[in-house]
Amino acid sequence: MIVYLIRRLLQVIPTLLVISLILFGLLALKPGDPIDEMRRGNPGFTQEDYDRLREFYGLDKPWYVQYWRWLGRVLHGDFGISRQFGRPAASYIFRYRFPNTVLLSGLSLLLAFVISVPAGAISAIRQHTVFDYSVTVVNFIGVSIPIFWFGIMLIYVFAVRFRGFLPAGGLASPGVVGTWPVFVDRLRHLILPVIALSSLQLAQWTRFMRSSMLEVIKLDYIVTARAKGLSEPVILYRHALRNSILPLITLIGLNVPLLFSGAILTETVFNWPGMGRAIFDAILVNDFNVAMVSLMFISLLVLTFNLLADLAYALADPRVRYE
Amino acid sequence: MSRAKRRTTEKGASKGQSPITAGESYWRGVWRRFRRHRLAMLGGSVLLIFVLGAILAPWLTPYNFSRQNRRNMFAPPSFSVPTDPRLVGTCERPAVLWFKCGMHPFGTDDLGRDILARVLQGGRVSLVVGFIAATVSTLLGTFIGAMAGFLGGFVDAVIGRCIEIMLSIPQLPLLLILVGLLANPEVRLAAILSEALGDAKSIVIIIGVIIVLSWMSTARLVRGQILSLREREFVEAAKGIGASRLRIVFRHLLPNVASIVIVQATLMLGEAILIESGLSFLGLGIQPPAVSWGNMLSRAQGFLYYPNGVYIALFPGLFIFLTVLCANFLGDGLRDALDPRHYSSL
Amino acid sequence: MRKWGIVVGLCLCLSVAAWAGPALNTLVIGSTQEPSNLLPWEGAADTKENTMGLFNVGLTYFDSDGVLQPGLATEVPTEENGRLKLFRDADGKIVRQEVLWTIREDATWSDGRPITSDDAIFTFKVQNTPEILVTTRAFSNLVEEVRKVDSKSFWIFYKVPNLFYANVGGSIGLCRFYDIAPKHVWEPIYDAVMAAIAANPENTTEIIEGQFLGSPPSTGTGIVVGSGAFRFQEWQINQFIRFSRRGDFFIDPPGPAENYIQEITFRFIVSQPTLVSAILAGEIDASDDIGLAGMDPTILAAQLGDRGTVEVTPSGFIEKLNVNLFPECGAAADLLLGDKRTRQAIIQAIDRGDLAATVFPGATPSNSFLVGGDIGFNDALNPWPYNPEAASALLAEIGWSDVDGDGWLERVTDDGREIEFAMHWVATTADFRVRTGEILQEFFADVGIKLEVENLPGSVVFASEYISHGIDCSFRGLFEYAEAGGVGQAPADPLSNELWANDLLEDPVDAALENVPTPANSYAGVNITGWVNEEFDRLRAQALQEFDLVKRSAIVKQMQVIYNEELPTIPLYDRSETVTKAIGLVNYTKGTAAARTQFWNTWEWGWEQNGAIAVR
Repeated sequence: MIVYLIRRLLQVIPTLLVISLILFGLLALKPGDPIDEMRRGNPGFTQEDYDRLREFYGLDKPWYVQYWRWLGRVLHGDFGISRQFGRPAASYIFRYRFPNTVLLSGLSLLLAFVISVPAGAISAIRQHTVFDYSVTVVNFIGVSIPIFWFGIMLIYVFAVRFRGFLPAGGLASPGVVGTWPVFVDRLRHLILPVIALSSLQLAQWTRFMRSSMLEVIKLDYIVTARAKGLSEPVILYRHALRNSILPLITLIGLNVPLLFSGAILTETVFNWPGMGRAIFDAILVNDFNVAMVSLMFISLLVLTFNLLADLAYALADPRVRYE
Repeated sequence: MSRAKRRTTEKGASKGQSPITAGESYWRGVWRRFRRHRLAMLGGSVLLIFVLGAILAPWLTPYNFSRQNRRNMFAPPSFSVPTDPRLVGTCERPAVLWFKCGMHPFGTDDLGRDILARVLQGGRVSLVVGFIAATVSTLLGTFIGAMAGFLGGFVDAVIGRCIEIMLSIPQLPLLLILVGLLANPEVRLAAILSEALGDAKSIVIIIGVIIVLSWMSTARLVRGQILSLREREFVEAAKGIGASRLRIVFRHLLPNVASIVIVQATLMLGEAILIESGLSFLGLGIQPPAVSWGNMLSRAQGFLYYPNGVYIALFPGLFIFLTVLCANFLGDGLRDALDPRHYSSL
Repeated sequence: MRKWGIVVGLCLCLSVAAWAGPALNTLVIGSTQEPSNLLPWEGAADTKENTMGLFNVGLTYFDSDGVLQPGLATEVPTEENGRLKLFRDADGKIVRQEVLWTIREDATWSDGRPITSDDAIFTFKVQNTPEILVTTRAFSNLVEEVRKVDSKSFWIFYKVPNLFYANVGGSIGLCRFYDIAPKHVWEPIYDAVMAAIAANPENTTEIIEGQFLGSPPSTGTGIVVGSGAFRFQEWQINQFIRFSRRGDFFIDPPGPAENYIQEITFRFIVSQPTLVSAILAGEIDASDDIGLAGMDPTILAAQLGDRGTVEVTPSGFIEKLNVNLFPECGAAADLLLGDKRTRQAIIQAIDRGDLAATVFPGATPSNSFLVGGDIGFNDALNPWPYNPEAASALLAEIGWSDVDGDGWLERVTDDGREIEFAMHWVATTADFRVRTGEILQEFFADVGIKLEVENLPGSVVFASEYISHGIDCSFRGLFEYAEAGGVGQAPADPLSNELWANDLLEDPVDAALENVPTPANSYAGVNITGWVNEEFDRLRAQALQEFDLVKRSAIVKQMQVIYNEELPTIPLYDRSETVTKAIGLVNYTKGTAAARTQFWNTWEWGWEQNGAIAVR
């Protein structure tokens, strides 16, 4: 087990290197750099200025040389400066963007989990009832609706038609003071984006939970437990539910990192300053350092959560062995 | 964006299964079970209607999808024919059956174009994107996964690594970079594509990028399946009687993964359509004047507050939703039908 | 579910107090764009100018009637008041220019320190430091010296005479809101940066980025000092910047200052539909002049009802089709775009009135490189009305005809190739330009021209690899974007912009060629379509020397006649700007395009409900 863990950890390093090389290469291929912006609005901008500034930024070197320099700096813990915001890229991402993402994605995951487990379990237990059918239909709707459209409709209804019932977007209202009003204000801003973002997970996990539960219910030990005359709630909640949540948790583990980059659409619609939008903007305006630090961070998260999911699986299921 | 990936972890992929040999009775059973799955039948039929509608699109409406009539912008859905010929605009043909020139059953858009004609034409593009992306990415994934699973050893290790790397790179940003790169005439490949494809370029790029980023889940599934099948008696038996490797793969292994692959492809269809709409929302999808449900929908958000502007958003949104919904129904039904062990839902 | 019911219920109870502009005497302004930093030397984006305008005031400013007013300065320098000196040579040609500025005695920075001529001189020194990244060196290129007279007065000595010495927008006269920087804040930072560079020259980039661009006054993370009526409070990045009223500002609104806005929040909402939703939801009291580009003002007004008003002002920008005129680009040359008759056919094939009304409500068709209302605007130009028959006739005259009867025009080139009239059009992905492409496609189809429409992100088309490479066919036909059309450069004309020539060079024709991006000059210059006209350049050089406004206007009018006949670019329409404001908000107006920004008079913004008096 330990050997396996060490081997997996060692594999993470070359994987990250390859990922960084791919991403850097692709970003470097994108034409346009900050100097172009300066040159455009500037009559006095000479070719010497242009060359000087390109050299200044190291943009005159081929991309692999730039990569090598970038890697050197990163190994010293320096991710460079965001050209968009004039502050260190890493601190920009981790101070201003990452916490917002954790908040939004975390609450969405929580909401999805809290609803999908009972909904999935109950619809499995009461298979072929009205409840089961309605849950299934709602699930299908959840996975089929374009998320940005859903978000726009939420804003249209709750912010505009019911004027000011909920905010149309953003992180918080300016000028709100005091612990309780600030808390309420933040919460109000979270409601619509959380609903939009969690809709997909909610639907998928409910579906997953339902089939997982169905499978467990038919297993021998549940049948045995029933035969032993244990009460139905005890069987269902002590045995069946526990065993069917396990695979769901693995699935959630694999889902978590995706929410950090995958929320671009929700973040755009609700003007939520999270990681996804930061990456998108950085790519659009050639803010190289920000794009690289956030993409690498998410890749690391994916690898970590993959590993954790495998470990959790191994710990939970003694039949799985790693040599 | 990552839905397909998530599904890979769903049930039934790698646990022991009874082997399937491709025989008539099996497929007959599949068809029988599938027919009993009412939602799947419904989903399949609706999809079929949409496909037919898309194929026949140019002949189903009096209007051409790109013909503007700026005197009649933001018209509400209506079956009445205006008396003022300027409001009627230019039609391709006077009528299709009872459906006359001048009728706009879905209303008109922000340039006075018939929304019905555009939804039909957009369906062509969206469904082509969906079908091609789903088919090719699933086939590619199956091939790669089968190679890894069957050949094992070094090949498996390399492929496994590649899959892991591909899955670890955040998909949506990668998609953005690739689409941006290929939309740029300074990049040689993009210039060649532009030359060869003209207006259809963005469609081909979207399809290509979706394929590149979504074959991994299928590959992983198939690999797992093949790995578990490879050790089974019937394959051993085939080996014993001296069957060639190719024969074993195609005769014995692939038919057994067919069920997963078909289901995967169906779900991928909806997935691809949603990806396209999401990219369009960010301004990187199918580029006008080509029309797709995704770019219709994303454009519509600017007109939400115009009188009757809501119809521009309503219809493409509805069609995306229905198509994905039907693909999901169909996938669900196929899963149950192809794999009797999971005959459980609905 | 019950839990959420409770939460929603709670919110209902507490949802009222959140945004009430008049109640708290505050103002929330919404925009789609956020500035990248608050550095006085770098960045020229509109939103940067707006943001700086909220807490700074320049030596001069334009009011809503387009009249130049003294801001920090005691008076606007003119020859009459002796603050402007022009030196002429024997031929009467102006060879030297000197301007004397005096800063108001009561002008102070927001931290209470006086604003002095040392601040101006320090600003110029930084501007002239080669290591420092500045957006434009036009000012330092034109100016020889800034010389101190006393603590409040200084001379600016110009190498080349320039009419726009007092101009807010010209970036050549220290007159923008932030062209004078607080020395006491920036000098320690500047000295530290220069010392670090001297010690470590190979790390110049990192030092400038980290210690200058990334310094607290630039990123808004430390003390930010301004000269305006409002004091910078905080910048929640990607959310908002907040400002509060200064008690010691030197211009007073009519009546007690407490009756006017006490706090301004500038909110950033990236997506336009969300911004519109926020305005309609009442979360935002007013929009800036950027966020609602292309929105239909009548629709906004109808949706706002009696809760707010919509103001439409000319923006000073002209939306144009730039035509690739390089003979080196074969694809464009084959279409004979270099022949002015082709361009005349193109402009007549477009119903520009219909186009403007559809894609940019509030805009008016344009026939000039100057916007209507400009002092030098020529209103006797050929209006080029929509006339597809005339367009077809012109095309036929040049040699185009539908040979194969497929509806598209063809011609045979001199070397015997058969060419179809298929023309490329490129623009950014902004919604109104996407719609423009589709409409143009239909107009051109009517005269037999096939238009290949392409919408690419702004970061792509404005990259120099694209925009400056017309000679290599980066764009092969028409390239649509907007250019400043004079107003704002008042007394207004675009001559201080490098439109077709380079005024720093003596010979006008050479100057124009120098300004055309070619491989020979490493693609430098902004004359991206390659149009060169000797007569036009001669007039332009003459106009630059003419300080008499009437005579100058006459020359500019002559230049427009040439432009209007030659059509080096095809003018589509004068753009407008749409601004919403909640009912009761007074003096929040731009009035004319000359003001450049809505944010020129923050000190007199107020709510009528709270006793603010409308004076604009």
